[in-house]
Amino acid sequence: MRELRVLWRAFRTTLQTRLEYRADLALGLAGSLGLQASSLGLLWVLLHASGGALGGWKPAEIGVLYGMTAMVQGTSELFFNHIWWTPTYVIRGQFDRLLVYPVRSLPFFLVTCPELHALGNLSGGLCLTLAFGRAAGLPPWGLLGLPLWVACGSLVHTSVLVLAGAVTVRVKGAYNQLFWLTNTLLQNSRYPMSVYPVAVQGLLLVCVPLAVASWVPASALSGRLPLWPALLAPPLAAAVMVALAWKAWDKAFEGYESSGS
Amino acid sequence: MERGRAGGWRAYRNLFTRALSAHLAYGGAVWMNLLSLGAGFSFTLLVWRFALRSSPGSAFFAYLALAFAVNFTLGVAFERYVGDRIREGLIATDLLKPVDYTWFFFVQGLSDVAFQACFGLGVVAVAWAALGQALAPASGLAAAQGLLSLALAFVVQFHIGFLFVQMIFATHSNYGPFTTRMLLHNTFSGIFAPLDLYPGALGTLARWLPFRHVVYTPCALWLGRISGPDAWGALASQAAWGLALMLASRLSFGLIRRHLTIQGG
Repeated sequence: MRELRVLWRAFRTTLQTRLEYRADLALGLAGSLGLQASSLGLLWVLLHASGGALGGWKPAEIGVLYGMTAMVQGTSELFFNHIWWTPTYVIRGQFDRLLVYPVRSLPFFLVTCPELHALGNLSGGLCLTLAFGRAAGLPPWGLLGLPLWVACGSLVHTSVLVLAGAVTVRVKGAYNQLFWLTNTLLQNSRYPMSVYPVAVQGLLLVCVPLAVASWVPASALSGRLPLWPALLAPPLAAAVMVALAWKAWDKAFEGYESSGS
Repeated sequence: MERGRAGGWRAYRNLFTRALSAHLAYGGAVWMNLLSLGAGFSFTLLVWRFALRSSPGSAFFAYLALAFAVNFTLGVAFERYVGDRIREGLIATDLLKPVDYTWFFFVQGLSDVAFQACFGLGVVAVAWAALGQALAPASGLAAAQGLLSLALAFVVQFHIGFLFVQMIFATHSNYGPFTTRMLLHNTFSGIFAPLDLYPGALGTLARWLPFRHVVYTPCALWLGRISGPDAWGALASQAAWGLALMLASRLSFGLIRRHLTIQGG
């Protein structure tokens, strides 16, 4: 409980710091909303060329996947964004301080760099989910599950980023691209899985289960799957991935050597 | 250029050489970048392959492969570098250097492109092995126009980037400018699909913006998607955009640097 209070206070303090950059906040919000508009524009091109549907999914149903994915990304960026700084901190030796704090290093590190453009992804994603969900005729009670699915999706996404971060602790260098690779996988999990070959479906649903918290619930709500996988699979995927990521993070710091000046 | 003397040229030439050799020290990072972008491109290919399964055409995929190679080669993004320098106050040192700040980044960008072109050519070679003649230029003239357009594409890309970089002087952080540029680039440059496939208003908007001249115009000229008088028109439009963006970025840099706040200390 005490540690949770410390984490909350640390999160609030850093949030206040980020609010100092007002112009960037405005541009960041516009940017994240624009990115969603841009991805919808490209979806329009794709649907226009493919005859109006993709893998049996109507445009509004794919829009729900887009909305949920944006909310997952927004949640990760708001609460767990600091992981993106790992390669820089390793090179500059800035982890030394963190490792002597009387708290567990991973959660404290994750919550201390909220990105405000996350609010654009969260609000934009929510609007897309609600509007497209209504247009697709998804049952309104499905909204009850939305917080669970977004939270689980964010934990899976963050866990994959932490695994990438653990690699950059061990293999020193400017390997930010591992994080971008994770985001690429997340962005591409917003298409219906039937679009991809079985191996890629396995990748996005089992190995790096970024599609579990969006595609499985959307499939259940649209009657393609029963409801129980939507209730069980996302929490299970989140629990497994968090456990794996935490273990990998702790392992990565065994024998950690400081660098920088 | 600010320094018209031979010494000025030598400084830029040395900068180019040093920047190029610096890339060799970070070869691993470039491979990772290629891997990451390649993964994204593979997903794009898979999605398009599914979407066009009833009417597959190698010409479409040849365009996508060429667009990926051109986009990777011309990928200059200095927002993060400038953003960090502004936040840490180191920008003051940069501005004191006896070189023109715009040309400094232009030469840096040129070295990025020269280095990345090696990888871009590798991508084209692999795509050529897979797609064969579909990737060949439509004619000798199309090849010449495509290469000329590629050079102009760098000018357009650089000055768009430099205009967005100047926004960091006001925002003090790179996310907003970087995201805004990337979303416009990703949507309107033609890396996801040839712009002639864009429907309605999206297609009209793409034709009015300069981003098409970074990827679509050189690729479309090479492959003959734009030909005849339209090809010369596209080149003229690209050159005009390059010139206009250069003038705009130089003019605005003169104004924005007066509002620079030096931080750190």
